[in-house]
Amino acid sequence: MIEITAEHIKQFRLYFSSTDEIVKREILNNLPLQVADYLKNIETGFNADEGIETIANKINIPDFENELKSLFLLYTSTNSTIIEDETFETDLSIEQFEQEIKYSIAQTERDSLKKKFQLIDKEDELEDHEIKAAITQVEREAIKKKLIEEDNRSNAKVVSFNRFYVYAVAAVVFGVMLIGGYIFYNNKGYDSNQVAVSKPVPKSNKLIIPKILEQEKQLTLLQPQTMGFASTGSAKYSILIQRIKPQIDTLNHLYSLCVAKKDSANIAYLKQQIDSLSMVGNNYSYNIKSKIIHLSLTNNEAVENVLTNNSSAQNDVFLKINNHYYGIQATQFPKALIPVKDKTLIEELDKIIFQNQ
Amino acid sequence: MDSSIYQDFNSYTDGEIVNLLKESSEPLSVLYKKHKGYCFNFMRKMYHDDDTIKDIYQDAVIVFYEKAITPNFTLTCSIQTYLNSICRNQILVRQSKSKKYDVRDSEKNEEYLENLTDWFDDVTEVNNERVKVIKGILYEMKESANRCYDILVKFFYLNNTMDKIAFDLGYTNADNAKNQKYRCQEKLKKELTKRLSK
Repeated sequence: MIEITAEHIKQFRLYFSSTDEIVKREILNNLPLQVADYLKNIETGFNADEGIETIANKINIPDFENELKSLFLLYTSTNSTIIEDETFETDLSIEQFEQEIKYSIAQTERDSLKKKFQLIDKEDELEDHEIKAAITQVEREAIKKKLIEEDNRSNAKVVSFNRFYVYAVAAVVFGVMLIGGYIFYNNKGYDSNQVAVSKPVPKSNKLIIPKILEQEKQLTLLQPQTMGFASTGSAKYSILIQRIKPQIDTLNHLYSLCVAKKDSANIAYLKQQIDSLSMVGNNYSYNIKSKIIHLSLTNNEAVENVLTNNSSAQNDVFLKINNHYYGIQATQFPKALIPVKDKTLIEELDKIIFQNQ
Repeated sequence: MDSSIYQDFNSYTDGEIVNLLKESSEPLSVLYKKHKGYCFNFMRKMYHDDDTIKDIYQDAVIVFYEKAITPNFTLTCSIQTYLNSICRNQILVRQSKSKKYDVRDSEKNEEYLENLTDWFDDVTEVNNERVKVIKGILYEMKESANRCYDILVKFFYLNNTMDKIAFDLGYTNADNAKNQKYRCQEKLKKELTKRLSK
């Protein structure tokens, strides 16, 4: 047998003093199972008005009668309202009140059921309504489309079927003749000895850019004079000059023409050419054997002299362009013209020119 | 109750449906849909006002439900027949009130109407003013999901026993449920007195 502790009795008191079912259920759940059963039996006894002794005997807990009495007091005080109600129930008016409640609840429940049914009906009706609306719209649109087509047809030129037939036959005859003729003439000239060749590729409409014009200048190589005599048998040099600026000007002119014609392919091509020329600076190439100097000059610089400060060495050749001296070395590939900055050399070269004047 | 249970509603016998209704009003929607078409067609032959027909059918389903939830109810025919019978009776009642029915059948019909029992068990001797106020309070209780409303509905409308109410609503025993019911009645009475005295 489980022992009823002070804590259990405290919980019993809480239980009987509470009117909240949740609190009561919680108390029951927190108690050990057997103690909870005791509590339920006590409550059933109180409810059935069994009397303290009977309940005490039923639950069979020694020395528990006094506790039961205090619990019963709690129970009666908590449920005094209910007991009052029970006495009130004997009154005839409570019977009438219950009838009223019954009637009112029935009405309330019926109303809510009716609302539920109306909602079901509404759902069904809504479906029908939606289908009806959709069908009406589809039909209306179809009729409208038909009317528009009719309208367009009446506005269009009417070609009678006979006339249409004549046109069709004529088109077919013309087509047959065209295809027949093409086959006939294309097969006529072939024989087994002929070789198929590809069709000539159409010429591209790419712009032909004029070449840069070269100026040729023949200059005698100036040499230093020894012992007061100028050297004999001086060599002749061919200076081939390409002027970049006039070419860029020509290309710019062509570019503006292409822009005006909206010739996009050539616009890009010209732009590329102009850009590449713009990057070219003054340069040269020198062939010792043929004594040809190729010059690319960005502006209209004047090539004045070709000279050397060492008559025995063809490598030490200088060009005087616009009062500046540039050393020239044998090279196949273009090299930049680099001005001479050595003052002694400049004086020496000036002296050579002076001596040869 | 899970609505998926009612997906195959046709597999239930009418007796089983009555038992389901005793537990919950949920199957009522399926039942309403299931028998609607037949009842409507049947009534349209006798009556030509669709709104009235709809009203009668809704009432008939509620009457059937109220019969089904009474403790000793036994279904002696099919639900469809039962609903048809209620609907037919109601049409006769309405026709008799509007005096549109055939005079030659009047005697026969009056006799029939006197024996008509399957309709709302309305309490006639009620104070309409008080009922109106009580209904107002009950609506408020229902809207606020008041526990009192559940107890009162289960006791006064669904005819549940105190043991069942205690079990369904989670009371420790029937006596506690009974106490709670008294408290709710008391609350309702106080509110009624308060509102009537205004």
